[in-house]
Amino acid sequence: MVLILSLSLPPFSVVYGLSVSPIALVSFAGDDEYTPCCEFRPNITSNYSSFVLAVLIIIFLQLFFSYFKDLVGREVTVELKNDLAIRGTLHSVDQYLNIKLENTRVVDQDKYPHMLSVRNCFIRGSVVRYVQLPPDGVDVDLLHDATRREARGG
Amino acid sequence: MATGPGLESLVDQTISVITNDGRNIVGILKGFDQATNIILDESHERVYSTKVSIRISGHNEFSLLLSVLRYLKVERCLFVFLQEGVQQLVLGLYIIRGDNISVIGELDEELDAHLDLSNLRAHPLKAVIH
Repeated sequence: MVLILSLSLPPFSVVYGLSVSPIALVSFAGDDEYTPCCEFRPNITSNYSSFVLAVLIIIFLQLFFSYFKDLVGREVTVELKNDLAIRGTLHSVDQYLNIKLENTRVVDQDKYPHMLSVRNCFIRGSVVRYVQLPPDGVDVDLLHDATRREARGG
Repeated sequence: MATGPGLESLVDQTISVITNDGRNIVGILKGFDQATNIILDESHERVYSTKVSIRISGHNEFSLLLSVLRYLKVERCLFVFLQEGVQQLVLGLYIIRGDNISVIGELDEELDAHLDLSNLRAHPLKAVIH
């Protein structure tokens, strides 16, 4: 199956020695909802194992995107890379795993009064460190199966 | 299909942006794009500090006032200044690059009006470390 991908994250391309271009391209047939939209052009010097690793990572992005789509409406706590923790109801998620939360409140409001008057927010995917889920929101077996399937078939 | 961030609902609303270096900028969202670059109108930055400094003024600044008070037989006088809680620095029309944005929050005007910024003390937000 042809995966056309592009990673617009500079560190990624440097580490894996791949030349990347952030162009949105084709979606493959019959898979309208969550197609990756990127273009992947490995240069001559990239080796096979880094290619495989890159593909696997892209596959996992899709997996988590579909997983979060199922979690819409649940109460989650998002911890960011600047140590800010925001609790709210998951409203939506997109392919970059940007998260929109409703009814938000900061976990430690006295320490972080910066968001006192904010009730709905959009959190950029790149700054999320953790997403803390309700314990009954995780079907571990289902996730295991999905992961195994993705890693095998793709 | 690549759809941009779902910020359409926030256009022409007052929003509070937290940037990667820990700044808090409040303004009206005018536009955005797929990379989450945003255009913010009437923006101002809110600078939080924990300082509750009490500054006791020297005599120099208030020599005239002091002489008036002395005339009125006031012998001792202490001028005390409290550091302002939250500073608001006016910025104007800004474009913020998407790479640098952490959180975009919809500012509830009512709740914001109830905030007493002069008495708010907080540690500045930390910078994002990847």
